[in-house]
Amino acid sequence: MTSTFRLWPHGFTGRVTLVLLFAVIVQFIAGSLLAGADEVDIQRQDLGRRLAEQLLVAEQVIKAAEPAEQARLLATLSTHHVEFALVEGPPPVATSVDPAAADILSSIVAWEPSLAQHSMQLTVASSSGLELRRNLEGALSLGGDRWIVFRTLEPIAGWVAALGISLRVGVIALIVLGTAGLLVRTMSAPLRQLSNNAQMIGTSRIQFEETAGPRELREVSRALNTMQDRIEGLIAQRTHALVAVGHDLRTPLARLRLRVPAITDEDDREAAQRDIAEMSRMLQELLDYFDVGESGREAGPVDIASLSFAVAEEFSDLGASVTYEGPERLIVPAFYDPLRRAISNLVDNSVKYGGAARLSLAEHPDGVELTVRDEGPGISPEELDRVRLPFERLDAARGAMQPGIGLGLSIAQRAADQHGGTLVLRNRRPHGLAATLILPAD
Amino acid sequence: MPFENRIHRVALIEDDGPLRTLLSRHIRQSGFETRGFASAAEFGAAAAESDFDVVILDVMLPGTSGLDVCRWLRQRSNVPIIFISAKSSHTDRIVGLELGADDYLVKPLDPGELVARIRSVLRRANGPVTEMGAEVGIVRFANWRMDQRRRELYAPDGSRVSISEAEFDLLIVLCGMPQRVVGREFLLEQSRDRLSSRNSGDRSIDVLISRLRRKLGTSEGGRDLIRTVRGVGYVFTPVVER
Repeated sequence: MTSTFRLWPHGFTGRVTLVLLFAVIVQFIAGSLLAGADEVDIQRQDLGRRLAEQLLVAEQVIKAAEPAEQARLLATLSTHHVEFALVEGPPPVATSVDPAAADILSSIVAWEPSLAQHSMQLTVASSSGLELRRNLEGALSLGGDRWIVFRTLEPIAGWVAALGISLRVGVIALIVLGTAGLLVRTMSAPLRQLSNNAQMIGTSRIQFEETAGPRELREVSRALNTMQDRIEGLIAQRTHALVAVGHDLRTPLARLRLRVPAITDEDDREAAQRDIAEMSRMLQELLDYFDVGESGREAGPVDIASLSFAVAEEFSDLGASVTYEGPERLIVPAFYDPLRRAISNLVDNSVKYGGAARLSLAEHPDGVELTVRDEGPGISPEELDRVRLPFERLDAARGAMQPGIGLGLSIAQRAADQHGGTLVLRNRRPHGLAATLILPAD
Repeated sequence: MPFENRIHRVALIEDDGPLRTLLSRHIRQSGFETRGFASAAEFGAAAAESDFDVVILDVMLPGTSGLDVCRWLRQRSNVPIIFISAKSSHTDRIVGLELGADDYLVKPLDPGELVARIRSVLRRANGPVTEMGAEVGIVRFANWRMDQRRRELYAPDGSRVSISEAEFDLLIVLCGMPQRVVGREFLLEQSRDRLSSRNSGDRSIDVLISRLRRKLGTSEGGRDLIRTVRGVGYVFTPVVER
C-alpha cells in the first residue's frame, strides 16, 4: 500500500507529468506497432515486386536461350541482392507456412500475374541459428523438373526493421513529454503561489489575485478573500465588544475609587484600594493587548537603550531588583509605546515569577537583541509556546496566583510581531527564564 | 503667587451622574469652586455667562462629544482643558492633545492626581514661564526637542528617548529657568507639587538629576547640559527656545 503511494507523486506537477508519461508511453507503443507493421508490409511488398520483375526476366531469358547456355545466363542475372540458379530435379524448396513467405508470394503474383501460371514455392530460411537473419528462398517451376531457384542475400523485413521507426517515435515522445512537463510546471506556478499565500492566512492580511491566472484559481482566490473579510469582520466585532466593555467598566471603577475613602475601617479601605488597583491593571492589560499592533503611528527612531534602563529604573523605584547591562545608546526603528509595553511586560513577568530581572541589550546580526533573565522556576518545555497565547496562565507551574489576566507575554509577542521581530522564550540552567526580543534594524 | 489668591472655578463635564457628583465633591474639597454639567449643551449655556479657569471634560459624552466641546472651546479661549477618558490608547491621547487639551487622564483616575494636574495646568496658564507660545508646547534646547503635552523627548538626531514622568517634570522646571542657578530645595518643592501622588517622595532630586543626565548624556555633550553648583543646586546651561 505504501509503495503505491510513493509512486503516486504528492505534487500537482508530478501527478500531471505521470499521467502524461503514461499517455505518451501508450502512444509510443501503439505508434511503434502500427508504424512498424506498416514498414514491414511495405518492405515485403517491395521485395515481392523486385523478385517478380527479376523472375519474369529470368523466365524470358531461359525461354529464349539455348539449353546449354541457360544455366550460365541465369547465373549472370544474380545481383547483390538476389542470386539465381537453374536446378533440375524435384522441387528444391519445401513449401512453407511462414506468413512472411505467404505475404511475399502474394505480392509477387499480384505484381506480375503471368507468373501465376507457374508453380512457385517460397520459404524462409534462417542462415544463422538466430531468427534475426532470415533469408527468403524460392523456386519457380519451368515445367518438368526444371526450377529457377532464387535466394535473397539480405534478410527479409521482420520486427527488427520496425526498430528504427520505434526509435524515432520514442525520441519524439520524449520531446513531447519534456515540453509538456515544463508547461505543466509553468501552469501550476500560480497554484503553488496560491498555496504559499494561503499558508500565511491568519498571520496577516493576504490579498489574493482575483484578476489573473486560470478561472478556477481566480474563484479560489475570490473565495479566500471573502473568507478573510468574514473572519476579520467577526474578529473586529468581538474585539470591539470586548474593548467597549473594558471602557465601560472604567467609569464604575472610577466611582468606586472615589467612594473608597469613605470606608471607615482602615484595613477594609486598603483592601478595597488594592482590589481597585488590581482591576484597573487587568483592564489596562486587556486594552493594551488590543491596542498593541493597532497603533496608528508610524515607526520612528527610538533609543532602545534609554527605554530599557528607564523601565529598569521604574521597576527599581517600586522596590524590585531590576538591572540593566548594555550600551547607553542604541537606536532602532520602533513603535515606541508597544515596544515600551513589551519590555515592561517582560520585566514585570520576571519580577512576578523570578523576584528579580536582569535586562541586557546587545546588537544582533538581524538588528538588536534585548534579553530579560530571571531565576524563577522557568516554564515547563511543553508550555513554552502556549504561554504566549492570550489568556493563558501557568499558575500551577510558576508558583502562586499572580495578578493579571495572562496577557503579559501575549502583548510582548504582539509587539514583536508588529516590529517584524521575534520573541524567544527559553529556560535557563539551573532554573529561570530568559525572554529574548529580537528586533530588526530596518 | 497671584493664582493662589482667589478661588479658581472648575467646570466638570461628565455624563455619568454619580461620578460627576463624586468628582465635584472631591475637587471642591481640594479648594476649588466646581460646577458639574451632564452634557455639552448644558455646559455651552453656562459657559456663555460665566468664565471658568479650568475645564475637565469627559471624552465620551452623549450627543456632542468631548472632542467637539474641546474644539469649540479652543476657538474661543485658552482656558486649560483636562480630558478624562475611559480610553487609554496612545491614539486617543494624541487626538485629545492635538485638539489643544492640556492634559489627558485615564479613568479610573486617582483623585489626588486629578487635583495635582488641575494645579499644574493652572500654573502653566498663569505662570510667566509659559507666556509665549506655550500653546504648541514644544520646547527646544541644544537641538533636543521636548513635547510638553505629549510628554515626549527627542534627541538631536530625532530618536525618541525614554524618560520617566518625574524626570520629565524636572526637565520642564529646568527649561523654565535656563542658565540660572536653581536651588535643590526649589526643585524638590516644584516636583513634589507637580507630581503629587505619583510616588516620587522618596526619590531625591539628586537621583532624578543623575538619571536625567544619563539620558541626556546618550547624545554627545548631553551630560554637560545640567551642571552642578556644589552646595547650592544646578544650572541648566543651554539656551531654551519655545
